[in-house]
Amino acid sequence: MGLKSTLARDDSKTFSDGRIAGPMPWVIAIMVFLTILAGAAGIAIADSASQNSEILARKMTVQILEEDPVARDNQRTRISEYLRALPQTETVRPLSDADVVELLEPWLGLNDDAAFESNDLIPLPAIIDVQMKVIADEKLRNQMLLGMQSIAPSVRIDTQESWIAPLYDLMRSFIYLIFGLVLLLAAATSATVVLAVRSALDTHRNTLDIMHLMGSTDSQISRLFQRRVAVDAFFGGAIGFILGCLTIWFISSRLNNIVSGVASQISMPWYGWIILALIPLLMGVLSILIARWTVRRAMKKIL
Amino acid sequence: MQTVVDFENVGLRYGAGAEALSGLSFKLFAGSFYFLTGTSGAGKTSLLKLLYLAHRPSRGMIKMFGEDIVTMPRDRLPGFRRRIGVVFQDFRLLNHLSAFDNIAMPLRISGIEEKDLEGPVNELLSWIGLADRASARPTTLSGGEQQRVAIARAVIGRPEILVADEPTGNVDPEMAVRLLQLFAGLNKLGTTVIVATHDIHLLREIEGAQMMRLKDGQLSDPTGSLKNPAVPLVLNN
Repeated sequence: MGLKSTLARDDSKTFSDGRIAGPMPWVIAIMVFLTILAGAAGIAIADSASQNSEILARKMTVQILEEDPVARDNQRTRISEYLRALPQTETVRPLSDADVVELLEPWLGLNDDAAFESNDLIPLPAIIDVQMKVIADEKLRNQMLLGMQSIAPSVRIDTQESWIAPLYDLMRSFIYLIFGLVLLLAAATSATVVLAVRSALDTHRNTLDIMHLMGSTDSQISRLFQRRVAVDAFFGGAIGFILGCLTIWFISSRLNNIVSGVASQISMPWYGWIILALIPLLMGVLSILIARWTVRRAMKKIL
Repeated sequence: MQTVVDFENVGLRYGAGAEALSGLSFKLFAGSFYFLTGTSGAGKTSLLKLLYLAHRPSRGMIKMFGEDIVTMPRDRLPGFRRRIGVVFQDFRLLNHLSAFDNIAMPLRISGIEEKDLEGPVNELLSWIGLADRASARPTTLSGGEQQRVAIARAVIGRPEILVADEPTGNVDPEMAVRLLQLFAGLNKLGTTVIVATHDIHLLREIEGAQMMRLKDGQLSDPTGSLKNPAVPLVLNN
């Protein structure tokens, strides 16, 4: 029945208290807060993974394992020229010996540049960073390798993919886990609303019975509850959203201090903030729908 | 005369117990006034519950306003309930609402705007002598005042059928007569009134009223004690 009641405009003229149940807004605030955090982590990781995976997939490192420094320099120069001549390469950046020393220092713990440079202690490989225009498949890599081996037999190609793939597998697993967490939080929020509405139905049983006998429809009664749940859910959602955003800001500021590695590349894209802003709204709408379903289910049990 | 209520072989059983009402067959006509009498436990309240659509019967057929309400989908029942005013034996006022808001409730359910309901509610409050208690909560009212509010709530929507369960049980004789006059006034406007009572003196106050007597859940013949019955109670069986 589509009868419009004037009750829902001011439910103080129907129910005795102003809220569905005391703790419900706060429980929803906690749920929204946790969903915002989980969602932010998921969005940032997913964005970082999608942005970096293609860039990294188009990157490769060419190593020349030649002990003789003079021959190595010569081979580096010739291979760089060979690579630049290929139509598939975007940039070719041969690393100087100093760059290679700096690169290896954190792993080998040596800072004796002279020892490296003189090649006395550890023979350094020559390294060339290559950024391809396209993702190099095995056929192209083999073709490039053959071409380079004619210049330097000891040359080898390392694709970034080989070491980054497990990391992105882990990231993907995190994204699935976070998606699952968001679903669980939505389910927990729904359960909270169901319990709160059932409790409110019990509290207001006498009022509802009277209204029912006076000809209130299920829609009129569920609208009264929906309105109250909406107020509580959007209030709790707003609190959870604000706390969530403050926490993200705090974590972001800490994350910005990490200057290297994948962690430094994790940031919230602009569309992420829109998705996060939608979370309290979606939680509110979900709460209203769950309240409507709960009330109508309960009302169907009486004539 | 138009039939507004038609019971045919109606029985009502609560759970697995014996039938509280058994084999009821009768018709109620539009604009008539009925008293329902019987001893405690005779089934008066059960019959009224069937009349104000709080229960469906366990067996038999009930037609109200020409429609079978036994098989009617439940989403159509509210529309029928709005055509029926009810005065409960225990008043069933909402204690958190004022007398005004209690009386206004049926109008609000029907979607009447606030500006349009103030006049009728205040008028009725004056009529029942509670104009100065409009904002009082039921818990601060005497039993008689609560009963008057309950009656005002039942009649505010000008129902086609008015069902009252012992409506004068808590008021003094003078107020009882006034309330019955209110029912009679509504009855003259076309409302079918059914009043359950065991106060035999009231039966003589309404010209042309008819009596239904319940005994052990079954309807017995009219006693003939009514004053000038215009139309005898129609019993189908």
